[in-house]
Amino acid sequence: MTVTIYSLAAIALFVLGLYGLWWQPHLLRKLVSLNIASAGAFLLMVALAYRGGDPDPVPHALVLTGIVISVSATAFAVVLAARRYRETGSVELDEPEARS
Amino acid sequence: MNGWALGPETGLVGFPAVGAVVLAIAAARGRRLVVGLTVAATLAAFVLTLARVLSIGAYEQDIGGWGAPLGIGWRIDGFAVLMLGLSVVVGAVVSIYSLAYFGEDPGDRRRALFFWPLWLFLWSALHGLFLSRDLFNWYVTLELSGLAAVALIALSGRADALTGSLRYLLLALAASLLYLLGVVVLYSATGTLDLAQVASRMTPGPVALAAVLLITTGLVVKAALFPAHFWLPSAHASAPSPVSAVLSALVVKGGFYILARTMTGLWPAASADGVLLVLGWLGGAAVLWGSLLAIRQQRLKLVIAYSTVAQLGYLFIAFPFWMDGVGEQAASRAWAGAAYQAVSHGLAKAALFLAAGVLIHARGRDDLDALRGLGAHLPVTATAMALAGISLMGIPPGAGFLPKWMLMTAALQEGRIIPIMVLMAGGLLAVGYLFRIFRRLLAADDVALDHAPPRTMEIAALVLGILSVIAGLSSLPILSLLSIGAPEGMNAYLEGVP
Amino acid sequence: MNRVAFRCLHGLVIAVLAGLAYLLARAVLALDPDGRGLSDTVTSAMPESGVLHPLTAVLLNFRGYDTLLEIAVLLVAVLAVWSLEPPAAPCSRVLQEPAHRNPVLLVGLGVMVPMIAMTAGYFVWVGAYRPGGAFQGGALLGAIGVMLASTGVLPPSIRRTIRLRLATTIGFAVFLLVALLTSLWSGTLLTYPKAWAGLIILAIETALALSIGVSLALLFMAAADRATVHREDAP
Repeated sequence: MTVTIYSLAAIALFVLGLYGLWWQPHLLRKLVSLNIASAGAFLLMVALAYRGGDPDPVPHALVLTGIVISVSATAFAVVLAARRYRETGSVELDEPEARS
Repeated sequence: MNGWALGPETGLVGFPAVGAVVLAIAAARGRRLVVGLTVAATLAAFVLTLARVLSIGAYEQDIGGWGAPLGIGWRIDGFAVLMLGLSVVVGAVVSIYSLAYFGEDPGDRRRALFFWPLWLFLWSALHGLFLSRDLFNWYVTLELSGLAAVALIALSGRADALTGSLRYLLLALAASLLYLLGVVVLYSATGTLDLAQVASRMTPGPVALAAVLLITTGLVVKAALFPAHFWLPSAHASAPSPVSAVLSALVVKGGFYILARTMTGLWPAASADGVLLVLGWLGGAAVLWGSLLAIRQQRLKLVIAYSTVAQLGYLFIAFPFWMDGVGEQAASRAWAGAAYQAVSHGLAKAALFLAAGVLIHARGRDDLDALRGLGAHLPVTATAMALAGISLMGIPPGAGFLPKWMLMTAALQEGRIIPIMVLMAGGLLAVGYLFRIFRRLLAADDVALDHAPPRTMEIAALVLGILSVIAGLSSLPILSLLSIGAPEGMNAYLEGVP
Repeated sequence: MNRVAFRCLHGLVIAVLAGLAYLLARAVLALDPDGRGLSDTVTSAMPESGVLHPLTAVLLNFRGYDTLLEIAVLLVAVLAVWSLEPPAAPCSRVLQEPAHRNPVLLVGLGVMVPMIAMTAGYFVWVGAYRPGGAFQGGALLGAIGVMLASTGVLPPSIRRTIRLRLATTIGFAVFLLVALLTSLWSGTLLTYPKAWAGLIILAIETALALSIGVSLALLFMAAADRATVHREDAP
C-alpha cells in the first residue's frame, strides 16, 4: 500500500515536471520543472525498490548515479542560460529575436 | 574468463578518457603529442578488437567479473564493431582536422583548451555506448555523450549556438528521463538490467507496453526522428564544424543504435508491432520533410543539417520489417540495410561538414552564395564534397547506394509500395539539395579567397570522402562482419553473403 | 499564435501527459507487489565485495563502471561551465560583505568548517559498513566551498591553477587508473583482486570525495556568477 501511494505520487511529480518543462516559457522555470520530473523518476525508483520488504540496494545506487548526473546537468544548464541571457537579453527559448 | 589476458575493446573507452584527463590537467604545450598518442592507441585498440571478433566470433565481457544481472556487461558483435569502426575512423580524422581547425587567434586557442577534453570524453562515451548491453549503463553513456555534445556546441559562444545548445540540452535531458523511467519499469518487472536477460523474462502486458513507449519516445528524441527533429538543425549548424561532423555522424547514431538493439532484442517479447509501424511512417516522413527543408535553406551548414534529418529517416524505414509475419529474408535485409546506412551516412556526413568547415574558413561566412567559384581554388575540398554527395544521393559506388537498395528489395519482397516510393523520392530530393551546393561551388565566377585554409583540413575531408566510396565498394566484408553474432532472425539474408 | 490554437495546443499537451501518467500508473500497479529485484543476489555476493554496506558494494564494485562514467559526467559539467565564461576577464560582483568585517561570521566559520570537514571524512570512512561514502562526504565538502564562497572568504574569482585542476580531476583519474590497471591484470575493467578490494574502494572513495566536493563548489560558484579566472595556456 505504502509503495503504491509513493509510486503514484512519483508519477504525478514526473508528469507535472514534464508539463512545466513543456509549457513554462521562462528558462529557469523549465529547469526547476526538469528537476521536479527527475525527483519524480528517482522517487519511483526508491519506492519500487521497497516492494519486497527490505529495500533492494541496486535502484538506490542507480538513483545516486542519477542525482549526480542531474546536478551536473542542471548546473551546466543554469550557467548556459545565464550566458545566453548576457548575449541576447532573453530568458525564453522561443522569443523571435533569439531565434536562429 | 577468456583466453586473452587483455580485452582490447577496453582501450576504446579507456584511451580517449586518459587523453581527456591529461588534456584537462595539462597545459596546451604537449597537446599534439597527447592527441596523436590517443588517436594512435584508440586505432590500435580497434584493430585488435576487430581481429578478435573475426577470429573468435561475437563475445561478451563482464565488467568487474560479476556477470549479469549483478554487474554490467559488454557485447562485442558484428554490429557493435561496425559502429565502433565508424566512430573510431570518423573520430580519428576529426581529431587531426581539429588540430588545424582551432588556429592561433586568442579565441580559438581558448576554445581549443576545452574542445579537446570535451571531445575526447565524448569519443570515449560513444565507444562505451556501442559496447554496452546494459540498459542503465546506456543511460549513463547517453548522458555523458549528450552533456559533452551540448558543451561542444556552445563552444563558439555565439547567440545562435547558445540557443541551439540550450534547446538540445533541455530536450535531451527530458528524453533521458523518459528512457530512464522505461528502464526502471523493466527492472522492476524482471529484476535485471541486462538486455538479453530482460528480453527472456518479458511478457506482453501493461508493463511491457509502458516500457516500450517510454524507451522508444526517449530514444527517438535523441535520434532526432521526425517530428522530434526540430532541435537538430540549429544545434548541428551552429556548432564548430568538426563538432557538427561528430554530432551528425556519430552522436545521433547512439540513440538509433540503442533503439535497434532493444527493438531486435526486446520487442519480440513485448509484441509492439504498432510501435514499429509508427516508427517506419515517421522515418518516411523524415526523409521527405528533411529533404524539402534542406532545399529551402540559405546557409550551407543548415542544408547539411536538414539532410541529416532526412538521412536519419532511412534508418527508421527498416523498423516495420521487424514486425510479426514479415519474412525472415526481408527482416534481415532491412536490419543489415539500416546498419549499413548508419555507417555510410556517418562517413559521408562527416566529410560534408568537414568540407563545409574548410569553405567557411576560406570565405568567413556560410551563406550558400559565398560558395560561388570556390571549387576552382579548393579542388581537394570540392572533390571531398562530390564523393560524399555521391554517397548521400545513393548513386553507386557510393556507400549510400547499397543500404537503400537493400531496403528497397526488402520492401519488394514484402510487396510494400510506399517504402519504395519514399526511397526513390528521397534520392531525387537529395540530388536537389546537394546540387544547390555543387552548382555554386563549380560556378565559373572568379573570386579571391579571404583566407587560405590549412592543408590538413582539406585532406581530412577528402579522406572521409574517399572512405565513403570505399565503404560502398567493400560491401562484402561489411555484410559478413554484420553477420557475426547478428540478433536472432536477422541472419537469413546475411548467411547468403559469401 | 492566436488564442484558439494556443488553447488547442495546451489541451494536447495535457492530454499527452495524462496519457503518460495513466500508462505509467497501470504499469506500476501491474508489477509484482513482492518483487525483490536483486536484493538476494547482492546479499549473496557481499562477502566477495570487500565492503559490508550493500549500497557501497553496488556503487563501487558491482556497478563501479557506471560510477566511473558518472564522475566523468561531473567533470564534463565543470569543464563545460568553465568553457562558457566570457573571454574578457570577468568582473563578478561579490555576493556578500567581506567576511573579515564580521567577527561573528568568522568565528562561526572557524568552528563549522573543520567540523564539516571532519564529518565528511567520517562519512567516507564509514561508507564501507554503514550509509555514507564518497558522495555524502563529497557533498559536505562541497558545502564548505559554498559557505566560504557566499561569506566572501574566498575571493570573488579563483585562478584555475594546476592545483585546482588536479583536485577537480583526481577522483576520475584515480578511478580510471584503477580500472585500467585491473584490466591489465584480469582482462576486464574493474575486477579487483579480492583481498585488496576493500582498500582499493577506500582509496577510490577518498579521491572521489575530494573531486566531488571541489566540483560541486565550482559549479555553485559558476552558477552564482563568481567566475574562475582563465589562463592563456591551460583549461
